[in-house]
Amino acid sequence: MGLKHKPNVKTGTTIAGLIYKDGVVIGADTRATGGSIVQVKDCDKVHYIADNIYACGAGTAADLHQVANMISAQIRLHSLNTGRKPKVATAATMARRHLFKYQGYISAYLIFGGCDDDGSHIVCVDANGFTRVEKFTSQGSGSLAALSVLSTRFKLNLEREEAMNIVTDSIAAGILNDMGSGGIVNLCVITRDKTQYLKHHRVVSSKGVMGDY
Amino acid sequence: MYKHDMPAMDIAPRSYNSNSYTMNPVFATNKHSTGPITTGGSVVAIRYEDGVVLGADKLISYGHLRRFRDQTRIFKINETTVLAANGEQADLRYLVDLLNAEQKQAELRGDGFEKGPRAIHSWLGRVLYHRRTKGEPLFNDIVVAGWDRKESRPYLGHVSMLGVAYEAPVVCSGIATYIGLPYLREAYQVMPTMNRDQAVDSIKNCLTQLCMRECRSSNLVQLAVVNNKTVDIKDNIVLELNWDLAKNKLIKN
Repeated sequence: MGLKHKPNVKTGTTIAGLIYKDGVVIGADTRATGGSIVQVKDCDKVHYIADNIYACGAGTAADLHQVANMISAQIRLHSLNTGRKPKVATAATMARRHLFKYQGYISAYLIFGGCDDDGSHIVCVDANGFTRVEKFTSQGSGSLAALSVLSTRFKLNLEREEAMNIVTDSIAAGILNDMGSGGIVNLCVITRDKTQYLKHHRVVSSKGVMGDY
Repeated sequence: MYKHDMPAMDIAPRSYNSNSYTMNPVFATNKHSTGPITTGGSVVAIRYEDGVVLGADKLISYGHLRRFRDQTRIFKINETTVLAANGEQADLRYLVDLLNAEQKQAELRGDGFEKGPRAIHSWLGRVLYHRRTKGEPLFNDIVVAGWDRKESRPYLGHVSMLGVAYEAPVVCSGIATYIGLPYLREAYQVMPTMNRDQAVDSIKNCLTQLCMRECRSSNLVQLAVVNNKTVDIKDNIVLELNWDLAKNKLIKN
């Protein structure tokens, strides 16, 4: 009788990222769901790993927070030990080794994006430990909707404005067409010299405002 | 409505002698429909200012096997209606046979009255819902496109395999619902009064992306363009696929 025990808070999600001329742009929506209920309307899915590396995460919210914090700490120590700027590949490898050990039971689907001494990288790590290096990618329940925008509009060596627009539009496609995604688009633009975290970059839809259909 | 007038209403009765216990469908325990076998891929359609454009590839799969690579999945019913569907192609062709039989009856009557897209859409919705209720559904998500002569406007509708029927400016069946629908909805939102060429380009772009992202698809496609005069099916269009981005090299800044 009554409300069943709340299922895990998941980030049913749309996250996306791409490489452009000067660096990477990664973006995420802000909805965290528990079953069919929106638990958090403004959840932060773009996690800080290092000054030059950020990771977007889809999956179980708790797992993502823990994994992101853990990788961030390990990367900090590693970078202090080596005396070098951290690399995206290192962060992704740490995540992969951890997640594979738990055979997918830690439900964390991450997109690592960053600029290091080897250039700009987007690395996708699945909960089972499958890792791929991509030029553009998306994850989460809204990933196919985001992919439809990314696939058709992505080109090599995009300019910054266009790259930001493409990522924002792809997250917007996820927000509008997927029920597990919603809220506002958060964007993070990382270049070799600077990282800019644009929280609440674009409000895609508001309650009470009617669309065309 | 007389039974003989509309042969399509006679939907596969299992027993003509309903006194027979074993032949009575109510007591039949054998399962009939288990799942689609000979399947077609996605269908995409968008409404533009003066008509509708509908696109589908020409591949019919048999599980993982690409069995029939040059088969039509888009069917013109009359001068105002065209339909296509994903899923079990045998079921789709059965429905098209029934619709063609009705079309023939209409021609023989010769009174100028023809079933428009709205009527056909409604009929399909009812038939599919009836089959779902009997527990032996037809495994198709059907896209019905046409020109509504009474209201002088383009008509685009969708019927799911469980009988959910609705009308919308952009409609997709199959995996295109996840990959194509967001793209086409955005295109429609930006320009609802697009012209024929823009609509055809959108559909072609959509089919190209689908071909690259969906496993059971091919780049040989058909397009149907409906306007207020006729239905025009463009056959054997070969899509150009660009695999350049699959060459994954490190990008150095």
